[in-house]
Amino acid sequence: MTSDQPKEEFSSRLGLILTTIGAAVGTGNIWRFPREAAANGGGAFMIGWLIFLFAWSIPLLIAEFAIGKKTRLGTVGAMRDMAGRNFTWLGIWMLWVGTAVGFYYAVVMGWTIRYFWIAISGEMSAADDTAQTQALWENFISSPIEVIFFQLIAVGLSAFIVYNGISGIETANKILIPCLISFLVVAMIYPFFLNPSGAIIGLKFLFIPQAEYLFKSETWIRALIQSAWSTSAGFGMAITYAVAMRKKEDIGLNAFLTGLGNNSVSLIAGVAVLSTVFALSGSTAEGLEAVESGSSGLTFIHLTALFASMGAAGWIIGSIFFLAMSFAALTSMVSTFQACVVNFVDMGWERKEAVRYIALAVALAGIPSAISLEFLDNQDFVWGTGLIVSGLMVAVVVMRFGVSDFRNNLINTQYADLQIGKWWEYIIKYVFPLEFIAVFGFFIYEKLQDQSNSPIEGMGLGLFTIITMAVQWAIILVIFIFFLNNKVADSVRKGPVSDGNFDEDVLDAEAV
Amino acid sequence: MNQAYTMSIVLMLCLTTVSTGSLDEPVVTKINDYPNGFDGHENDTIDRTITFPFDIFYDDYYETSAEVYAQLLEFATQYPDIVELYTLTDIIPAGQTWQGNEIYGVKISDNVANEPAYYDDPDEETYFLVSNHHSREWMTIPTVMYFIHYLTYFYEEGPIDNDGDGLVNEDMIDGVDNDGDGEQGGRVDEFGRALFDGIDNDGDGIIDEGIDEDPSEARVTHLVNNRETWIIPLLNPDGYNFDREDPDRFWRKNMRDNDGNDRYGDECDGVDINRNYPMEWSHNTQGQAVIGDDLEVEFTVDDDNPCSDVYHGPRDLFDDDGDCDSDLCDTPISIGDQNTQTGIDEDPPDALHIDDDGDGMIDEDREGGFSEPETQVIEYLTWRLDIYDDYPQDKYLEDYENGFIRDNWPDMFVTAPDGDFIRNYRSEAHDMKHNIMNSVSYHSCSALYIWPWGYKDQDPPHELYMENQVKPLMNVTGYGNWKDQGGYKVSGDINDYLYGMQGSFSYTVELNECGSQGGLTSGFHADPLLIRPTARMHLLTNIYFLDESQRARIGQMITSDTGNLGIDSINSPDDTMMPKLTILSNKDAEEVGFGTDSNVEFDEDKIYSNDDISVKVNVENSQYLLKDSLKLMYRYDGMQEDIWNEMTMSCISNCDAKDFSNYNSSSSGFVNVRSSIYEAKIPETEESMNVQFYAVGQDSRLAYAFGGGFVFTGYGNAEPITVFVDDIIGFGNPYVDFFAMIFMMGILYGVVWGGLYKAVGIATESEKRKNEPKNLNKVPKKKAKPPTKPGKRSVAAVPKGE
Repeated sequence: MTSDQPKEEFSSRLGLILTTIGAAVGTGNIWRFPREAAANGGGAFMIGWLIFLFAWSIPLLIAEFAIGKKTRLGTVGAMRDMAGRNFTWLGIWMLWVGTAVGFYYAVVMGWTIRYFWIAISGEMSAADDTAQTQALWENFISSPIEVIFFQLIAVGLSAFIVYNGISGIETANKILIPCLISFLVVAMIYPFFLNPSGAIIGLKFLFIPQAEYLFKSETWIRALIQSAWSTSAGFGMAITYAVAMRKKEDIGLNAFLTGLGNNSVSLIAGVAVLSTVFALSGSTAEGLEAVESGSSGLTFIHLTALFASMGAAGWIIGSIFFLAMSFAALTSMVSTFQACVVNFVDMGWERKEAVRYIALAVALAGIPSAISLEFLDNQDFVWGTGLIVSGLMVAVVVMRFGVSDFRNNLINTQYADLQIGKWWEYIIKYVFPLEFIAVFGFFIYEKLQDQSNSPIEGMGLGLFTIITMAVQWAIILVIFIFFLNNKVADSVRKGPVSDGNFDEDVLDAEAV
Repeated sequence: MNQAYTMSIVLMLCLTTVSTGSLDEPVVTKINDYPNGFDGHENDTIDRTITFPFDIFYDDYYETSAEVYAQLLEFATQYPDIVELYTLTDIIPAGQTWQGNEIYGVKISDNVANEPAYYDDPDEETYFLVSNHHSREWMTIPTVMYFIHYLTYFYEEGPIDNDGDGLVNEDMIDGVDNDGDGEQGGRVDEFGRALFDGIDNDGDGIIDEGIDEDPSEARVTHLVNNRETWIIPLLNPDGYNFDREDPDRFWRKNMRDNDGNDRYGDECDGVDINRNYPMEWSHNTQGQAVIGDDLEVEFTVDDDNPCSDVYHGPRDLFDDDGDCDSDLCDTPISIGDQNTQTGIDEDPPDALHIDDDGDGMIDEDREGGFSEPETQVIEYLTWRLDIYDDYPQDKYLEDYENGFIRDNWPDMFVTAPDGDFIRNYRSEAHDMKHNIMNSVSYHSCSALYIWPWGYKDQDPPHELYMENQVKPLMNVTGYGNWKDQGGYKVSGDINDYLYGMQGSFSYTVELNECGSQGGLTSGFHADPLLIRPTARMHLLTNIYFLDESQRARIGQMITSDTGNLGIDSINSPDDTMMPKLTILSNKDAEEVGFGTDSNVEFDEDKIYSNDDISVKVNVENSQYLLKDSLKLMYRYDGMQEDIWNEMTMSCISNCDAKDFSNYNSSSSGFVNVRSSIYEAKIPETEESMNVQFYAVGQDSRLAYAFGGGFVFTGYGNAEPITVFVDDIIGFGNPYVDFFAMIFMMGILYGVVWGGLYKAVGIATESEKRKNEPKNLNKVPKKKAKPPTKPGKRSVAAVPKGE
């Protein structure tokens, strides 16, 4: 099994970067970022969004890359080796949360595939007002067979890509990400030909800083949340892919490339979505209504109607748009899969076997979410918030290890193209905890405020959801800490630093 | 250039001078100022095509009084169920006119055959029509005769397709070309007037073709069944005969032998019977210089001089209330000597109902009026039609149906306890529960509508109601109105009597132009070719007032303790069927505005700058809305005070004028009632501000009458709606916005894409470096650190295997 290891390596730096960008770029970049930006003061939000890229996302990515590269193990093994045997459950948590997100994410990806089909088959063109697209959406979502069918397609596609290991993932991302970006660029440009003045309103919403929002704490918190979520920093994806990094690979610069790449995609998608909405809507009010209608509402109801109203051009652009959505979802889904698979492989499973079983498990576990929007909604909140906690765990591990040590030994290795300065230590030590409290607190606060009870976006049910979150977390943690911790810690194979020697020289000696 | 400019100035000055100069000359009252009016047409353009079968009777001939009587008799014989012929002179003391003629009237209603004489059904409104007060005004007679023809001919007929176009009842008598097949294929002409105007608007030699040509028979039936119409086609047969005998006489008055020489028709004979009604009789008669109510000298055009054409008849000189003790007082209707006794004529009927002598009775001793058989016919008829508490009409009908016929009407004159012969004064004289809702007295000429007061300038209590009621007619006929013309004042005319003492909304209609019309001689003895267009035009007047009678009931006068007439005013659109505008929310077309007392509550979050504000207006009774007249008036913050932008609203829903599906024979007044929704969009603003707007439209029936006939949102005055337009993006200035946008884009793209570019650059560089110099063995790497110190890790991860 150890003999597999050399093969599980990215063939090129480009492949690594595109893959991590693929993991970072998801549907959230396309359907969440533009709405958040428009609703929170445009430029005012963007300032925060940009700052937190450097104050949250990239530092965490750096830490993850370093951990993964050093331990050469999946999240479970990495946490065991970094934090100590008793803290293996941290890794199990990260494994579980990532996978649990994958359960329902496959359903969401299924939607995007379904809508790609709706768009390209011409079914969409018939529904050119929101009442009709609403009916179309409700019709689709209320037929579990259909939803499950597309969920299975999503799982199947992801499993297929993961099946061949890192090389397969790398190849897929090398194709998908450039395609995704070029699709979005097309979608970004055409509204300016269609209706320049409307498209510019979209630009204004995205970029003009509205002074009153600058001084609202909510704007900043939302920018932070968007930044934290969007890059997948701290979710374990970077650890997973860093396992397959080449030895000579840099860490700091790659983290920057991933973060900046992700935000570049966000910028393109932001302009694409908002310009489309305002260029095609009859009025600003109508456009805002679309933006206000939540992620799925915006995408599957309003944008669908707008595309349909364009006729033949809408058929093309709509198909491209939903294909881009599908690709974005697919690359993220693949990373979720891989994170899970790597851990099981670490525990001694044969890779392809692991993929098969995990695919089956993800497919089955996703069915409740496919059947019930409310369940999906609940899971989204419970484990989506859990992802942020994973980020906290990464930071805690770094702090336990010693922030300066970590930076000097694990990040700024001899292969580093970019030396990470002392700022990184301050951010992890002082800024990050504050940020975490703000984000986590705001999640809870927002949940309590929410009376909307709307599926998917509103994350309704308020207090009930928080209680379910606490209960689910508690159950999971009890199982992990008291039952699984030691078993799993033992079953995971040894990595290069499992002996506790983090010295660079050892690695070098091994390499030579 | 300069020269041309100067020239034009000079030219304008000349023109101004000319027109100003003309002001000094006596101005012949000219009503119709429209360029396509009657004046100036040299050719006979009168259409003689038959619209209705009985048109042939109104070809080119004025009937004599005998022929009028014969015609009335024929109506009564032919349609005994709905026409009853009365010899009205039978109910007055004299029993005949001065020259021994009879005055006839017809009552048209259902059931006349089964009802007692002069029965006035309390449930049916009475429409009162009188023609030919002035004998030389010949046109008045065929105008009402045509109306009788119309009612009798179409009564209880099934729907007839009169014009053979396959539709029935598609073009009602409303002066509107409802089916659009008329002269201009629509509702109004280029001046906004409906086209049934007796004018050959399209110049094809046929007038008013395709207008009102297929009226509703059901409407006629309905109106006959539910109204009582009293028509006196020839009130002044003596004078009419005299004038017909020799048209050059242009005789106006009746034939009273003023000089007592037993010869009628002397120069100084005759009374102007339209000055011979007791209400404000001889008020400010010319020459007396009495100060009027408004403290100005306002002569009324009537005269004490018997030789005058407007002689108002002799003074009453009768002690109506019996409070004069002199023997001289007891002679009824005395003629001749001036009676100077006290208690004679001390409390004449006046508009303010003043108890002049303070005896607790109001207006009980008149100064004059009702001295002539003709006016007494009106007096006795209205006296009989009054509803008496002590002898109600339903009791009268019940007695009649039980075969108990008695002439139980109160006598006009009775013997008082002290033996005086006095007028049967009714204390409730001004509280008559009267069914005469609308009344019209036809005259000619000058194409005007006239309504009280006749004797003074001030408006009567029901001014607004009467004005609004007649406005639609003025629009359709193109007629003007007496008040706007500043017409002279008259005292003792029938309008003041019927309004002031009988509680009827009473109008005088002056038929036709006075000079020439359509190239034909008009005036008193108008060319008989004008009979048919005139009669057809005023079919509208008659049908309209008949139709409106029910609504007019609300305006019936009451006497309050203060003696004021009636209720203050009537100004609800429901009363007048003026189009009623309601602003609808721009968002979901819920009714939010003016129609109710609620404020408009637009969702402020939903109105943004950079959006046009869509305003929808619901127009009830939009069939009366003048085409393209509905304007949205709006103003932005910062615009000069009282300046409003104007925008024509366009119909977006229920717009088709030719939809006959909503024809309703019972409630809607027989027009295609519809409500339409109009929309306009206030242009977008760049920044946050308040925008105010309201809507205003014109009633097509009122357009150009009284200079407008405007209908605002709500009714009466417009109360603008204010909405706040929120510029949720930007700084309110497009340039600053643009700059800010570019600036932010620069920062974001600079950092993200610039950073990416830099990072990719470094990465590419280092990839090269890592791959190429493998042989250098990493030695040149300056950054390569010295071997790091052995880890001072605090955490010892000790795998179990160790």
